[in-house]
Amino acid sequence: MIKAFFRNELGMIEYSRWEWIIIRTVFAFLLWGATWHTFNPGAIDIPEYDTSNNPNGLAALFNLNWLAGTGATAVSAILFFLFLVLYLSGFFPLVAVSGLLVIHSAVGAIFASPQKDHHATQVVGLVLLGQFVFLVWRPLRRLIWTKYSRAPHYSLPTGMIVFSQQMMCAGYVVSAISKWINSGGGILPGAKWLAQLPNIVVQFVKNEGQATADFARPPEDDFNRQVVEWVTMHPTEAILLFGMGFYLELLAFVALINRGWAFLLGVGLFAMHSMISEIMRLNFFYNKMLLLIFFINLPFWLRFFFRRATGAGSGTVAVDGGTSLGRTLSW
Amino acid sequence: MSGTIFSTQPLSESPLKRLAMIPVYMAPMIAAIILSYCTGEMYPFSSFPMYSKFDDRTYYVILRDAEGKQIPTAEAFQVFASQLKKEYGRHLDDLKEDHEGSHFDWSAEVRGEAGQATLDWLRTDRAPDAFKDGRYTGMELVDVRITMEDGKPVEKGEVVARLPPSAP
Repeated sequence: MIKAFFRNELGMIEYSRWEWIIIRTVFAFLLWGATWHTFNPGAIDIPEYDTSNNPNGLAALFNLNWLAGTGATAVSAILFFLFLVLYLSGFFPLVAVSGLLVIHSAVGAIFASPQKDHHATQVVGLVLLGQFVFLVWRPLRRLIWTKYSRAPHYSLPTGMIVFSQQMMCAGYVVSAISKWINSGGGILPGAKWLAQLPNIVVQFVKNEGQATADFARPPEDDFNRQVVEWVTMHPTEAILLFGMGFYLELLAFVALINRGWAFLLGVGLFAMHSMISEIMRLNFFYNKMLLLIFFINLPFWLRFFFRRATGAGSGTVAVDGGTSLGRTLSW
Repeated sequence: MSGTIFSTQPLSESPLKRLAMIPVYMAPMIAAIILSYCTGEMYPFSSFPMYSKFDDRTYYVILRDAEGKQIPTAEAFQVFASQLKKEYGRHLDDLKEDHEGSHFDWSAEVRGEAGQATLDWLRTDRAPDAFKDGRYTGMELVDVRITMEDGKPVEKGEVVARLPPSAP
């Protein structure tokens, strides 16, 4: 079992149809929330944005303010809903994902304007883009990639999940690279960022001040203040603790090696987001939910350990439920 | 055929060959990293620059009424203080065309231009309805600076802008 964690199964992991059904169902809900910033259909609203003030994404290329009109917003939301139903049904995935991607990118660009305003939903857009790229690449691989026969040839569930995971990894790795470079670079990744880490307390104080300003009263718990005091008193320990987050991000791609690492990295990154949420009062809802479904993947592990405990399949587990390719997992 | 614990397929190739294939297998991720870093901010791509360096100073803004009582930004204007700070920050950036150095070294009077522009944005663009009954006449924008002094964070606030008492 331990040995399995060190096996490079990149490109060989196969995700089953039932895993993809569970994942895409949860992802569909996340996609709705991340696009409209509400789960209440009656509260759907797209704000207008200042086109001269660093608009983001598609909003930088086209004036999308017309989408903020009541009629256009309603039509977009209805179309989005229909594409989501198609996406959930599993039929015409390329049509469904293309439609969702266009609407999500347009609406998401408005919500994320001006640039650097917030990044809460970018990871959802990246995952959707990854799924679109896979669906476009899948037929092309057969046509133009025959020369490189060892290039991975994923089934639909596997490709959708693997490409989604890779987009999430890209987000984490590029975030770590930004920290490495923006903090001063250097040969040792993140060394200067780590050296600056004790100054993070000014950010913690700022977050507390802003949380207080939102409702003109300090937050009820004093966890933030306790952490400020602890970091001030123990800067070296703080570097070790928060520094782990940097290397989790930088090495997020290790999660692609096999399911075991996907689980471990997923739990690690989930814990990192949860800790930041508590201290800095920042909500990483979409990051945490995507880690849960694409990396931690509890349904697989529950089934894995249940079948192992009960000895089902005499040492083998049909990870695809024995319904598609009929391959079995053996050990 | 050697089976694997976590995947359904045997690892028929040597570990070295599989290692050499990593760039191919990770090509989507590598492409996304390059695009994200190069485009900077192009939704959904981003270089995610938040907290990518830690200076020993930062700032935020709060709002106070004419009596000096803190106004809850989320309740009064449906604006989070973090959004207000970003708007103020954008106006501070605009001032860099006319003023040298960091805004941390500028006087409250200079920063006041950005503060006034932020209050104007709030009143005319972001939450005009909230100002209709004249409730927030004389409202102040306080620029709170946080610096590390002797290893400890210290906060100091300065009023940099104020709505006129007769503002509608």
